[in-house]
Amino acid sequence: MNNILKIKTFYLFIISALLLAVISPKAEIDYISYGIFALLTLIILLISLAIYRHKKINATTIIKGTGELVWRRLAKNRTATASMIILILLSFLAILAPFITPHDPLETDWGALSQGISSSHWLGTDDMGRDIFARNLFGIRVAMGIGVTAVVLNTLIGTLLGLLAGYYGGKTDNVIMRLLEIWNAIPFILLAIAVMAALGTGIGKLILIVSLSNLMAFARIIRGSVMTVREFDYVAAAKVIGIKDFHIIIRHIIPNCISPILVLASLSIGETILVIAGLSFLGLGIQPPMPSLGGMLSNGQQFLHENLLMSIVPGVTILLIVLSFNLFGDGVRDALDSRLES
Amino acid sequence: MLNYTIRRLLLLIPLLFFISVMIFGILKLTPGDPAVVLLGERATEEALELTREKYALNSPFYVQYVKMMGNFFTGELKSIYYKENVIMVVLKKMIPTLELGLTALMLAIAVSIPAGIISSVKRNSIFDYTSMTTALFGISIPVFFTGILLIYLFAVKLKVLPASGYGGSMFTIEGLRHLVMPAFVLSFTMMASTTRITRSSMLDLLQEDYIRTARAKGVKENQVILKHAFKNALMPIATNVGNQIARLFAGAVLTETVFAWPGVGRLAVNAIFRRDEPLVFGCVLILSVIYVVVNLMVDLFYGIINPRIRYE
Amino acid sequence: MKNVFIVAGLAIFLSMGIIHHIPCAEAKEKVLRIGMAKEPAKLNPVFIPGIYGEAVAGNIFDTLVSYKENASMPTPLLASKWEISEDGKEYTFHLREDVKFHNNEKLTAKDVKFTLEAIMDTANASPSKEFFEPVERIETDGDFIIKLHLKNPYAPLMLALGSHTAGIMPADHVKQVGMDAFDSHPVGTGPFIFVEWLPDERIVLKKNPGYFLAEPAIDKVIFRPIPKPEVMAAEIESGGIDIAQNLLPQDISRLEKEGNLNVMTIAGLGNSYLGFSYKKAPFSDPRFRKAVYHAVPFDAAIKGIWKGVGERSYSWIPDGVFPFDTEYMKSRALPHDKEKAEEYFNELKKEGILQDGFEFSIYTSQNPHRVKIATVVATELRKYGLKAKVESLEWGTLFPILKNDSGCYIMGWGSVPDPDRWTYKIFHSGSTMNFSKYELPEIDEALDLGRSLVSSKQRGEQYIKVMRKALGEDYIHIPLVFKSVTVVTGKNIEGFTPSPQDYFHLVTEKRNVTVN
Repeated sequence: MNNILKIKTFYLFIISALLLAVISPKAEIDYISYGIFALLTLIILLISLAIYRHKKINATTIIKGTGELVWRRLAKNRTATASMIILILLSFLAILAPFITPHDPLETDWGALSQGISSSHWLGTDDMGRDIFARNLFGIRVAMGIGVTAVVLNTLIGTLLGLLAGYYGGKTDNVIMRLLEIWNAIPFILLAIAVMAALGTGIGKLILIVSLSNLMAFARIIRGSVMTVREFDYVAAAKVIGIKDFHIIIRHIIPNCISPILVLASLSIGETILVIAGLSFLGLGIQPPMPSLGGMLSNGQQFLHENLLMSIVPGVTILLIVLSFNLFGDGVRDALDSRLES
Repeated sequence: MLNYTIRRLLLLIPLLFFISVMIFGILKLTPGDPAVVLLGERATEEALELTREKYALNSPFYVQYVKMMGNFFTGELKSIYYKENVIMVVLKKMIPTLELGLTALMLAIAVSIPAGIISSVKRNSIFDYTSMTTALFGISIPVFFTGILLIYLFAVKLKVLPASGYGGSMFTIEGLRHLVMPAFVLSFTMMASTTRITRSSMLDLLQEDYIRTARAKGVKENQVILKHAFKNALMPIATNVGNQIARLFAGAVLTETVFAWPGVGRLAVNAIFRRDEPLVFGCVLILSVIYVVVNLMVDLFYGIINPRIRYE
Repeated sequence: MKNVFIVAGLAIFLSMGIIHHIPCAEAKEKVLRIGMAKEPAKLNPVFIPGIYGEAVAGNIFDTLVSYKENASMPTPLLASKWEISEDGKEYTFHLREDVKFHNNEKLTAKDVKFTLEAIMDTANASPSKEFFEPVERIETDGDFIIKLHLKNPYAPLMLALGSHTAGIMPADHVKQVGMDAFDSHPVGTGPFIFVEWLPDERIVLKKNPGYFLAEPAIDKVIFRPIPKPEVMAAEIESGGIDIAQNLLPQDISRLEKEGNLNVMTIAGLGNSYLGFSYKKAPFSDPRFRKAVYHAVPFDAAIKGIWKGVGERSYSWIPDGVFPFDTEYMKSRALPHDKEKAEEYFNELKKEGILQDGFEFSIYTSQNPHRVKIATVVATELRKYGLKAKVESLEWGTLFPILKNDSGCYIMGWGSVPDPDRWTYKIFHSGSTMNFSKYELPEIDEALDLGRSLVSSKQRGEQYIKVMRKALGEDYIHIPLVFKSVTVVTGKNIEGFTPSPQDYFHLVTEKRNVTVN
């Protein structure tokens, strides 16, 4: 039962991700955020469904399969649960931003420059009189949107390459892994800067370049687990009765690799958000007037003496997002690790 | 082992080929004009044309590529901006980068390996939580922000350290004082992964049967942890450290920019901004080769710490 | 384990304290440390492309005449006196006879001839070549007299000779080492001798004890590139540098208030402007340009962004430079008026020149102030249904885009105090810097006349004509701001004042900067 749920989650995930990938390069914040909204609502629905089921199972104290076990562990892990809740909260805040704050994140007010906390501006205004709270919410939107999309793409490409290499082995494996090794040898940050300088800045390009960053890690993990799974009897049996490769991969191999992918993906979202902030610091990130956390922070740190809010707010937000993704990823990893059963 | 080394080094040939083609492609896609950057805003069209001629920016792409590659190998590839051999330019910047990177790495190792071991031994203790959270903070705060905060604290408020810049060799007092802050900031980002890897591999090992056996035999706990467990945890830690060394040269770009540190990362970024095509080309190639060589050395190091490994 | 941390922390802290208290071994040497926003690209005067190179080279090289100390007329430097023929086509300079290069060669007329010819030589592709375009030939008369023959009268010649890009080089030495090698190890006659250049790190000069004006009071000058302005502020506050330039407005006002440092501000010569294409619709329609002028609250935005380090500008020619037409230009500026903007935009939309939801980019450099004002323009225009976004690019990417007619852009231009420099390159149809592709025969004619006429009054009339037509009638640019120059120095620096071009003059006839 649980396997089916897992598979469904995974395909829903992929479909929404593809939708996002198609829509997001058009650089309209709204499309991205509604994409994430759909995705998140789905995930939350599934999670609550799972928790509901998990409770029911708990009541009868029968544990079927690893899925329930993982859930139980994850639910027990307080930091992981907390970070999950923070992430969900942040996402909803970001998506519902226009309904939460009365201010337009772009609207400048030359009569209210660099103000402190007040009832009209909850977190003050920046050096151009723009509402920091509104900008922060929209910044989270953009950061999460790009982070999630890029990592989903990254995961898909990496997984595909890993699958091909692991399943077919031999020459295919050799070529793919050698190419990835070469790709991995190029200093990524320099490549990103060079590409942004070459093609110009823009959300689509940002996603494109970041989505190619971590291929090696994904491919390696997938390749490893595919190689193990390939040797299992049921896969061999499926092959013998003439089931097509595609089916074997989709039905039997992917479900077995989901867990490590999930861990790696949640860890790389944090990294991605930091990379984008770093590019903003070098002047190559998201272009104004679109608000971005990295841009706000690198602008805000020029005003440390005048208005601490300008740097603290985006700084803490970045910290919160990255930390939550990392803690969540750690939690999932711990939950998956059978050896840590105590 | 020799065979293995040679084979790995042979991989450098396709590597150099692919990377050079790719980076050359990116350079040629870049809409900027090196001649404009070189001569500035007041340049006349005539002057621009002459400069393009001088650096062969007008010939067909494949001619330019072959020329660039050939010059790179004969050591004649000259930076447009520095008018000096690309390899020499990079090597000169290597010293500050190595000083910064290796100091940061030492600092990171010195803090994170003990922290990781203790965390694994006293799992779920306050120390464990504190050190893991601190480690996570290291990879969760943008490095440029930590940098500027430290500058304000130590240079402006306390006035104990210089704000930025390179003070000469790290073996002089001035050099060391300039090194402290950037090295600390950089090491903060490195600590996270090393601590986590140390902790998790130690946790795995501490549950192995042979550890239990050792304890049952009455071996002292310190001995069990350091000799039996830690020695076997060295492998993943070495991989991690090796990866960080390999990434060290280009990965410090942000730290170098904040602290005006004259290192390879900043050199490469400036070269990209200045459209110094030969220098970007050379820089990326050199850094990629370093990455491969360092990784190879790490792999060979495995053989030393774990003689059971055979190189095929 | 905690103990280890405590011990390590203590050790680091103590060692920092000890290190801090060791007195500097070279305390007796007077060292001046200057922070620069960017590293110079070149130090060979013939190759120098911009102000950073000029700022450093101004201390290594001397020019025939000098415009230092904010002079509006040339004053003698290497040339002790000069004559200009009646027809304005022959200039004769008499050189000082007591000047020696840093390598002890004597300065003679052949060095001057060599330098000027090197600038004019196409093979060197000198960025300042065009300023010497009207020079026909140069001849020497003995060791200390040099004559320039011009094709036609050319008023800005003295400015060209007085700018740091015309620093005199030693002919024999340059021929021996070659132009490129000379660039990385320049030799001049100036107050300071080049010592070393460590790229991205520092340029070191030492004093030239035999300098003909006076012996420099400082022993050593160090120029340090510090790319981030907030770090520059931290450096000057912590005493890491003695002179800081290009600081952020908020840092300047704070440092001024705290009073631990000297903050000096003078009117600068660099402007910023919003430019439109003359040829590309809808920018080519004057109503569009006027609508933008009405739509954006420029006065408030400029005040908020430049925060007192810049004056709102109404013309390309700054207040202190002839022809002094600011009052009229000011009267032609358009106020912030949403209704009028709306009216113009609606008119354009009705006529089909402007589509609703028209998407375009405002191109600008990475100068933070310009990016901010571009952001303001883009934000305001969104209210009128125009989707504008800001593209801030590196110069190498930006320049080709601007040259191909970008439509809408924010750029700037800084220069020496002569109206020709501000206008010819920007408004003449044949110029590479005419990013608006502005093309009017009457403007071209006036600009050409402005160059060849000699009397300031007649020249001024031409420039008034150009400004009134281009900015007051066609609104081809919206002038934004003249940035003032602020330099912050330590209290121990004596005798230093900023220059409008962001140069660092340390030793001139009137000053000899020293460190106490």
